Amino acid sequence: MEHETTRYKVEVPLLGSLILTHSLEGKVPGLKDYPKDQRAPSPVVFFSFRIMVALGMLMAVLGVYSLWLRWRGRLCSDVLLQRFALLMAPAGFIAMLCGWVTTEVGRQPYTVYGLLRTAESASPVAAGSIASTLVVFVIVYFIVFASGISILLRGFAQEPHAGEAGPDAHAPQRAASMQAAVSGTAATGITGKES
Amino acid sequence: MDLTGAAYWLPIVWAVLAAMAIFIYIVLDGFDLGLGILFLAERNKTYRNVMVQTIAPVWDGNETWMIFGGAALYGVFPNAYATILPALYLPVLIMLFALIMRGVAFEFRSRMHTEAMRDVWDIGFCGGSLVAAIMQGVILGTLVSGIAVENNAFVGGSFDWLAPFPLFCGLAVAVGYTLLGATWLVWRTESTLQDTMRRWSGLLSLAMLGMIAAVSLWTPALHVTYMQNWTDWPRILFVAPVPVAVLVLALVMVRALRGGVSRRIPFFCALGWFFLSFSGLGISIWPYIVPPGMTIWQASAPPSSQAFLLVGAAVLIPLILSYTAFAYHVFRGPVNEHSESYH
Repeated sequence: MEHETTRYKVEVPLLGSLILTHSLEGKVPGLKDYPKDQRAPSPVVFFSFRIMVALGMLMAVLGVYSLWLRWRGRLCSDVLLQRFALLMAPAGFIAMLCGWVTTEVGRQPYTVYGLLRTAESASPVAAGSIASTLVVFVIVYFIVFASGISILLRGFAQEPHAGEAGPDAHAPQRAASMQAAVSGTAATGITGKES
Repeated sequence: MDLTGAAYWLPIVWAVLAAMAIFIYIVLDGFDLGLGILFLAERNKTYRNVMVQTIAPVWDGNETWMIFGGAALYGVFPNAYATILPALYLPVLIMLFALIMRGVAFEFRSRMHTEAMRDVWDIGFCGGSLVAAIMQGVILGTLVSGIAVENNAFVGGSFDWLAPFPLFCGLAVAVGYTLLGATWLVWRTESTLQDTMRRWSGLLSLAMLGMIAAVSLWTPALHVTYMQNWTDWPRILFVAPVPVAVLVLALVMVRALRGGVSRRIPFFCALGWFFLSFSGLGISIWPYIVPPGMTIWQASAPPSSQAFLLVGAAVLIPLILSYTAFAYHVFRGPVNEHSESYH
């Protein structure tokens, strides 16, 4: 970071110019073309961007691998695919967060690029208010996510069985509705026990 | 100011649209917050499920209108956005947390595998609904009391909203929403639950009339402009029917509840009271968007931005209104303990 040098690199000539300026002779300004006080913290962006891209590649690999297995007729029996898919379950979530970090951190030190610096765009809300609401956000999210994940895991724990009734095709359905089998009480949701 | 120019009428068009969005929000979300407030008062667990069932298919689309109001404020009246939100940061955030809690509680309660856990989420649903309703009233009351602004920036304190008038408005809105919830259930349910809600509707109607009277007398006393907006000639000709209409609706409500035949009239009477109160509020604070000093024109974005956003609104508002109407149409009709579950 201090040395302002790239120690390990793979170079693809002309591609960066083509993507960013849509021409082969375009000039892409480098980090060192900007004064130090106008640069984003590059280690964060460096890793968040690469994690996002790597996860995207792995998702593509998962898709291609499953296609290949299907072609070979082993889609439903391949243990490696099942383990791989399980590991990849949170990949979309992590990749999305990394992408978000890349855009938000990469835009620093500006809120509106070139016009309004982040330090200048702070609202007149007292720091105490911001800090306390941030703490509440964390607490609320922990409660919501913990409960949601426990409901999902309970749903996952129930194995599918043959002859299961699907949703009624003729009755109106909510988008957010889950199968009654997911929880023991959902089936009695409307006729719950009298207290 | 040029009375024919876009810079004059675009802010008026947008002020009307924003007021309309807020009112639609009150119409659509008021009863489901009120239903949440009544939730713990109903001890019968089967009836609680019926209550939830009446709003399950429709409640989560309602907050669209709150987002529309916020986005309109941000894009169309940026100076109002930049002063109202810092002034109301804590009440808005408390409302947000309450809405998150009640929304999650609503979805999770039916997926709990023990009665005890379901009871915990029932408390979350009721508490979240109550706090959200109170905070919406507090937000309104704080805005009407006036926000300290200098050079287009908020200069007041974090707790300016902790004052008698905003807190009273919080109580008033909570009572009003509870009435909407009770009358909604009179409309949409049957038998014992409907009878209970009819009794609640009577009590809450009395309470709401008291609240309307108190806020109506208190508001003009807050600011001299508010007083003039109600008493200046010839304006008085247009505004005098508002309190009269409140009393007419009260008669209709009493007859509907006494008779015990009509299902939907009490709900629409309660909505009528909200409409009249909301109009009264508009009459009071016009032409200010951030009382006591910022008019809708001072708060406005350039006409080019307002015109650009108007095109989007002209396409989207009819679209949202039609799918909302369709959803209510699909899930119409009374709900009882044998109805289809939509969870």
